[in-house]
Amino acid sequence: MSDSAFQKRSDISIDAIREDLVAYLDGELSSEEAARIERLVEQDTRIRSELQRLAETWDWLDVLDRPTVDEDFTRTTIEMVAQSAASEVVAQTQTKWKRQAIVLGVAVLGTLLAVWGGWQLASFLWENPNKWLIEHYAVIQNQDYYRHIENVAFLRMLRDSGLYTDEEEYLNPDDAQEVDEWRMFRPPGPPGPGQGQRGPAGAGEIPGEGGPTSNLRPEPRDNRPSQVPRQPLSESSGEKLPSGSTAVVTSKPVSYPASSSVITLSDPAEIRKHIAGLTDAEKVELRRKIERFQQLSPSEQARMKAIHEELMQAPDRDELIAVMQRYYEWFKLLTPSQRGELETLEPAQRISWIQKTRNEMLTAAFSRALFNFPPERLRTLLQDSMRVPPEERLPPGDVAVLVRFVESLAAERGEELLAHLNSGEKQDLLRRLSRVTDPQQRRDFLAITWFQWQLDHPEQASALTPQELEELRKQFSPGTRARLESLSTEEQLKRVAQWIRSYVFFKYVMPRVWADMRRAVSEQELGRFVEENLTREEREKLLALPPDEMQRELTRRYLRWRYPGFDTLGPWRGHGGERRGPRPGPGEREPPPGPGGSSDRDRGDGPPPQGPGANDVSTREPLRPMPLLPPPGEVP
Amino acid sequence: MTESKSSTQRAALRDPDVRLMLEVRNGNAAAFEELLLRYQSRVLAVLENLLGNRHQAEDLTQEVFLRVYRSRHSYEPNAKFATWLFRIVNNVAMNALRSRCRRREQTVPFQPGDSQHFDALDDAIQVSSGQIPARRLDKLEAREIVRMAMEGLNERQRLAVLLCKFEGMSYADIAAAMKMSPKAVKSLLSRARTRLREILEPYFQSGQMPIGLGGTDDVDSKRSTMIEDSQSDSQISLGGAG
Repeated sequence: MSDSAFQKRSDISIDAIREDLVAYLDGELSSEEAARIERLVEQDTRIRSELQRLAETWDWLDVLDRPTVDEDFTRTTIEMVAQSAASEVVAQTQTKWKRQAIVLGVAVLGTLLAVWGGWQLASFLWENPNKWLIEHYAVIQNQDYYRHIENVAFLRMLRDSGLYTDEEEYLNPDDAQEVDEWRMFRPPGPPGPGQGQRGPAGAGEIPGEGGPTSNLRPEPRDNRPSQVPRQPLSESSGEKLPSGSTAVVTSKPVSYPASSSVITLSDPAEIRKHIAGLTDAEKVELRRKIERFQQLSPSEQARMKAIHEELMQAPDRDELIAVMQRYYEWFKLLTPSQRGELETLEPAQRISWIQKTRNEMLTAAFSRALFNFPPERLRTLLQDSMRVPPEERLPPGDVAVLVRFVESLAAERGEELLAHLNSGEKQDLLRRLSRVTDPQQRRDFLAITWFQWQLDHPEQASALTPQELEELRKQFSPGTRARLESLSTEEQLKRVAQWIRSYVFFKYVMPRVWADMRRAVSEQELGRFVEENLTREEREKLLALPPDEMQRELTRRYLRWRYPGFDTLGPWRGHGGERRGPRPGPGEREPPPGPGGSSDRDRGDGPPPQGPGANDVSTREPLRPMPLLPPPGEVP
Repeated sequence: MTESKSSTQRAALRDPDVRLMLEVRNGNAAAFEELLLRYQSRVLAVLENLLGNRHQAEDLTQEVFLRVYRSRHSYEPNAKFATWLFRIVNNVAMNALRSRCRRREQTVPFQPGDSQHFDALDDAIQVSSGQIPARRLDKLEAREIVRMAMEGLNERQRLAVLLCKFEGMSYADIAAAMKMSPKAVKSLLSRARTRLREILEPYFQSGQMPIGLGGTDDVDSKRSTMIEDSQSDSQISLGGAG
């Protein structure tokens, strides 16, 4: 704004320039601005007046107090500041210590973090071989359990079906103690050469499976000596159980404990401790399991891991584990073909199949327990059977009549037998029978009990009543009936009792004889036989033979001695057909020709297989060539 | 920017009080005492006229110097020492005023028991007893009127007036101390001076007691209180020029 502008506008607003007037009074205007104001003041009296009034206002403020302070105030202030300084020093000292402590703490923490980070990095970069093992340890140890179950839902189906809710060890033919308990009717006497040993092997063995390590299991109930298994196992231990086919078996005997436990450990530290506590043998077994697990397909490994994780998380875990263990123990008793058949079924079908098979096995176990005679006893029974003169033998048609008749009576007679037992025996049998829920199975049990009684009590001449004898006689062929009627009633009853014993012998005992004869004869047995039963000349004659031939001849002589005359099937040969011995296929299941031939076999009421692998003779080589058995090439 | 800052520092270093403060920063207690002696009365005057309470002003003055001491390590010579000091004064004073508002302890001048009033009352008693001349009374009255007029300003106007009038600070320094722009300070001071003139001019021109202080109705009561407290009579000229 130029000076001329101010001059022309004499009515300039005071308010518009008041700030400049004040600033002019305060000396805050530039020289040019100040000169402008001075011109305005000179030209405009209103502005001049305003400027004077503003200046006066400023002067009026001079009356305000200008307080002064005394020395006390100054001293007080200095003291206050000094005190603050002292506090500051203290605070600084404390802060210094705190800072040092913080620095130290940070350093320690940093060191720990660095160590941890380094460990993590090292763990990331270097895959610890034990890490995999620890992660998979439980699955590796439990793989045999998981292999044979579909999933956890299948375990629940098993549990809900009522199966495997209780211990059923008596199913296991290897369980000698249980066998002894079952053989309560056995008359006391010195044990035979094989008595006290475990029964036929084959049960509890699954090719390619070793079972859990021994320290994970409860201690065995007794210190039974290990048996020589008659059922060889697959030579390739890592071979997976074939589904629906017969496993290739060889002569490599391996036995596995029947009971085991499931690993539920998940904490790495506990697993490390557990592994560290394994014995050398258990570590070897673990190594074998690791190799087996690694040979599984990734999908199978993943399936097992999924089962394990689901099982460990399950609220009913312990219950399911118990069911799984019992199922596995039972599964091991199955023959390879049974396992294959079972694994091809849908889970729902499996339950009914398992129920049916378990019943059969239970019956078989019962009979196996009752007729588990030691070799000495077997020889005696065999000799007794061979002493029957040909004219007293039954023709095949009448054998069938006799079998039907006694089978229909046996269960009822078993009930009656209970009355003849002493209280201890009776209670024991009743306790055993209480486990059997199926009525037919109970009848089978009682029948088998009665049959066993017949064998063990030959002095019981009268197996039938006179009325029953008359009824039976009517059913026989005219020739047999005539022969019987030529005898007195007492002699007829004795003759029929002898026929019944023969039937029982060939149905229940002979399979065991055949099985015993097919087993490998130990060097100890052969050595003892040579020392005790061969003359010097016979020994020299044997030694002159080539080693293989000597071994065959020695085994042949031993078996002839052990089962005299049995290599020709004795007096029964000819009645049962042209076969020289039992057909080895389902050999133990299929008894040799009985008193009258094979009619009983055709009825299909023979005992079930004696154990896993009992039907697998066709798939294996005999341990030793024996004249009593057909060579492998002739096996149907 | 860096050059501007360094030039500012060079200018500041020409301030002897800045150099003293740098001595304080280096741990020189005597330098602090020197600064205290130089500025304590000035700070006290500003605070007392700002707050209208001597005791509180003294407490706050001590707090200001305590802050100066505590801030010594972070002190940077970017301005005159007075500018930096009165920035602290501004902070302390504004905090105190805000606290006073929160506590509803705003001072009501001329209320019985007010320490500030004691001086005026004593003077008035002396006046009534005829122990001091009328001129003395006129000055006392004018001081109270001016003080009332100052209280009619808001805090920022009041502080700006005090810094400008009594500390002789430039608008730029006031702006720095009060965290404002120089232009805002110019406007602030213009309004403050105009307001003071409106209040004081009737009194100093014609002896009329100021009205409309702060837009409140307490002027008359203040005036009457003053008259009663001083036990004035017709002989005493409240508005006489003397």
